[in-house]
Amino acid sequence: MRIILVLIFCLMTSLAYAEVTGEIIAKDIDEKGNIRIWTQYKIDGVEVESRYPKIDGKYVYATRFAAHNFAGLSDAQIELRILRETKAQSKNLFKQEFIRKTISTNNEIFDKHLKTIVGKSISVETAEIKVGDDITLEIKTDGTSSIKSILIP
Amino acid sequence: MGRVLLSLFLFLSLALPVFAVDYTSDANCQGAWLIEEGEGTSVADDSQNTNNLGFAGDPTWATATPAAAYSTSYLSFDGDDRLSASYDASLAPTGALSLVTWARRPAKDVDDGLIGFGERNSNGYMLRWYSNNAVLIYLLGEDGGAWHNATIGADDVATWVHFVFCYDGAVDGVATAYKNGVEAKGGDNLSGDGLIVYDNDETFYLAYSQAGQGAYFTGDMDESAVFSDIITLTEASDIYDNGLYEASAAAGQVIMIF
Repeated sequence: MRIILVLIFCLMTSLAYAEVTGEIIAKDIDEKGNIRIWTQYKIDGVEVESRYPKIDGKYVYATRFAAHNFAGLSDAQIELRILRETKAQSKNLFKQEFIRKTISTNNEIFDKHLKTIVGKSISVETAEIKVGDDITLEIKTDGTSSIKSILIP
Repeated sequence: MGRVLLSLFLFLSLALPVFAVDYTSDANCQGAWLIEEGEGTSVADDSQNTNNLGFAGDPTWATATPAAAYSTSYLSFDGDDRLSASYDASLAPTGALSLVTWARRPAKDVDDGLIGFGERNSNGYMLRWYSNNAVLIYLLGEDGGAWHNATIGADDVATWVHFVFCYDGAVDGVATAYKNGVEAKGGDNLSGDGLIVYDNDETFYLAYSQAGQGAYFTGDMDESAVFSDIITLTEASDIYDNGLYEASAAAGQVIMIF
């Protein structure tokens, strides 16, 4: 009984605790002269595996920058620019983790989420047809139409 | 007490995920062509959608690839070849879109299509490397057919270059471009607005622009992909450094630590 209670407690706390962190571990210049920032990411306190060689025993990811990425920025703004990318990747990992834990395959979507799709219908009142390189017509089933111009790149 | 601690240890051990990095099994990867066959007249799609590409013309197989690429082969195109797949909704994301490719051209005096889907001036998207050293992504939107485009400079000749172009899928969207894992200058000048539109009788191409456009690629291409999401700068660096596919990890697998 105590084991079950412990497991339930652990499950509840683990679900409540959801966090992605990114910690900048190192910096260097890559072979093409770009600034390279090495960051360790963790999901709920656990390292995210990477394919780069470890730094100080830590899995790391590289983020590259060139001088034009920092044009006109102060030191503090440059740091914020780099941290913004760390935050973007952290959010991305968060999103990926969510997707992994919810829907991961076409078959799962097919089996779990399309149970009521058969029988649903929509209606369309207009459509478009192309009559030349730069003109399309918006048409209706009553035979009327209106011209929509398009731009040529 | 011992059993409680053992249970706690086992639970925590089972709950620790370490992710295998494999972009081809990403839920948003709609097409991933590693170009690893080395022979034959088709290229397999390693994403969940199996949008395999068939040869048109006579692309030739060659060995040695960009350092990050998984395979040991790539394809050469002489200006009248292309790869194609018939329409599939998976390659037609109406929201966010990212196009990824390795390319190498022998000269900069031709207008080349790298990735294309849809019809010129009508629908879809394309990524082109122009003779004036510009690389552009075109997105054809629902606002009367206006092209959205973002341009970066790329004067590289006879060297492999890695391109990632992303569109965030917003109506007044932003495009971001990465060249060799670095955010490229000028990638955000997206023009027009409206989401991308598609026609379900169109074709997807590698080494070509779009139906009705006629821009074949002259040069070499390797690992390429289409994602229905944006690629972050960190991911662009990872793909540039390590490729789309992690050979040592099973696709999509979440590895548990014991």
